[in-house]
Amino acid sequence: MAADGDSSDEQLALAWAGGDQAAFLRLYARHKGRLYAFLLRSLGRRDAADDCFQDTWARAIAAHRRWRPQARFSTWLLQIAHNLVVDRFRRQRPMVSIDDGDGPAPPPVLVDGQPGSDPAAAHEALEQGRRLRAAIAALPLEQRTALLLRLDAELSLEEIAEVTGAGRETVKSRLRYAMDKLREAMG
Amino acid sequence: MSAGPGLGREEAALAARLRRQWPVSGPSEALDQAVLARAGTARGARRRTRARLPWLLASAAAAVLAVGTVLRLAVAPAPTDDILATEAAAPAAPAATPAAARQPVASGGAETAAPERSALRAPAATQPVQAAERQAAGVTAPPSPPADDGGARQAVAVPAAAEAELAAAVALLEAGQDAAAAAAARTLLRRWPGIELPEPLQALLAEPAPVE
Repeated sequence: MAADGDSSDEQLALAWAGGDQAAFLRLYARHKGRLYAFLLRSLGRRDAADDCFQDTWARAIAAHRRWRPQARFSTWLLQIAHNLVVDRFRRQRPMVSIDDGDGPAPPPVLVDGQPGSDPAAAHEALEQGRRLRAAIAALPLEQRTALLLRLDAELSLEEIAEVTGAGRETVKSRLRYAMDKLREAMG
Repeated sequence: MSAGPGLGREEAALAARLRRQWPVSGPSEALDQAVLARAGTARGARRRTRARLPWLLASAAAAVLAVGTVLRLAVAPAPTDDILATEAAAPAAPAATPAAARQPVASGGAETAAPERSALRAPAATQPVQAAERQAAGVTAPPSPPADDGGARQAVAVPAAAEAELAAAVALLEAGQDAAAAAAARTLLRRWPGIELPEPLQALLAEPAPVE
């Protein structure tokens, strides 16, 4: 089964299950950025994100022949990633530490399209970014996961429930708590 | 809060802020390569196995020949100087070493008087089948010692025990397994110092070792 450039994730996943390596390359190109962002923002450390990213794809590669189009491919992939993140937190708590010098690089400062044109504004943008990361890092894992799956991956409540194994109402509650805490932290 | 896939206004604003203030560049190229390599592992392994089959067969053949050679060397009594001296005093009976006895001798001296040692030489004239095999393997007949040195400067010929290993080394070379062929040739040289190697093997050993 050959998949063209306009194929859906599910068509590509089926083609991949049938041995089409080009389909895997397209799936990988589509999902690697979003998956990596989810892992890095969940874990807060690049080395941990790298490990989980590789493990996620390794598990997907090992199980892809058994994939069936009952769920979206992106949901299936994020479910694998979420399970790995939870396992990692259970093994090495506490995990998220955004101020240990090994976290993500500071965001680029852009003021009116010119980097660093106003030192005060640049400092403020940097400070806001730090506060945002600290606020997300301070969230309980379940709330942080729900928030990132919602904001980053733009999953529905039902899909977040499927990824995390929680009920829809539980997910809704976690998201509400997370948004409230972020609002409070960011002022 | 919207339950659908689309983000609500506050969620969309926060998502945009998240991407702006906490940008993620994505996986590194090395990480990409690691994942892609893992995805191609099964197919690559099969391809590698197919590619290695000739080498594996040649290696197995060489191993069998080497074991045979070791067994032959272990069973046969090693020629010592004392034995050679004794035999030099008393010429061997033709029935004991027929090949050596029929070997034409250029001159007298040690070579004439040491039939066991002569027997180690490839008796090309008396064993045409073996000679043909050696020719096919690219093994040249050892040069006879010059008549004017009385046989004192004896050329090291290809011992019969080494022929099989030599043929295996040549087979490895012809199969394109240069490294294995070079290793086999070096083993031959270590066991039988001064042994004559065919030209392709000599050229292979003369090449600089590849840098890994």
